[in-house]
Amino acid sequence: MTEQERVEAYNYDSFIPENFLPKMRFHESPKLGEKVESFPLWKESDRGETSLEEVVSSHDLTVIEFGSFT
Amino acid sequence: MNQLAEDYADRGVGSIFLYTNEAHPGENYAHHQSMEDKFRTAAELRLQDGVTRPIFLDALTGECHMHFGSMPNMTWILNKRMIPIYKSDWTNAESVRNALEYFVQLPERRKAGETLVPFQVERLDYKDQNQKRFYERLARYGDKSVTEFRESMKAIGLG
Repeated sequence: MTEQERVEAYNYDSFIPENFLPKMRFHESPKLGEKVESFPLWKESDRGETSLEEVVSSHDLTVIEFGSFT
Repeated sequence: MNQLAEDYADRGVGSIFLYTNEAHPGENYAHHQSMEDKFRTAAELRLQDGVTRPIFLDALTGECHMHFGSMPNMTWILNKRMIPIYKSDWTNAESVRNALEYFVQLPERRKAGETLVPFQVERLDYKDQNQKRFYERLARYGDKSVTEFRESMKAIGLG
């Protein structure tokens, strides 16, 4: 799958079951107690690039809410 | 969740909002085709919904979101060594507060001499499902968002 195809598949244009159901895989998500990998992230306030690990390592605990405006 | 972040900020707890794909794209807020689109709707979240926590954007291809299970509004708590200690497939401030209240007192118990070791727990938490408010939100995104949600829920037997 090309980068463009991955962008289009992830950013579906219609909320229909064939678009969103295959992506919902919470049952396959990382296990509690096992270290997770880091990913690049971009801060909304200044658009600077950072990483999940950099953000998480700055506090004893970090609450991460995933979501979007819609 | 903003209030929760404030309440625990001085107890070693950071709180962020990790911006994903648009769950319910509509006429007014379409799906992302670029990071510029994503920055724009993330700003709408901060301005219109009043999110005061730092907002971080995932890549346009959603690697981080997909790694954690791709649910549209889930919450995780990680310790500073990148180890998840709580995960919820839906965000509920009461559930997160309950978990945090437990976790933040563990260091004191260790200092007091307890030898604490982790074990796995599963349980169901419960949230108030306010459908009227949810549909009012959907209407902000456009009629398409409302129609698609209603039809999708019927299609998967939840409507």
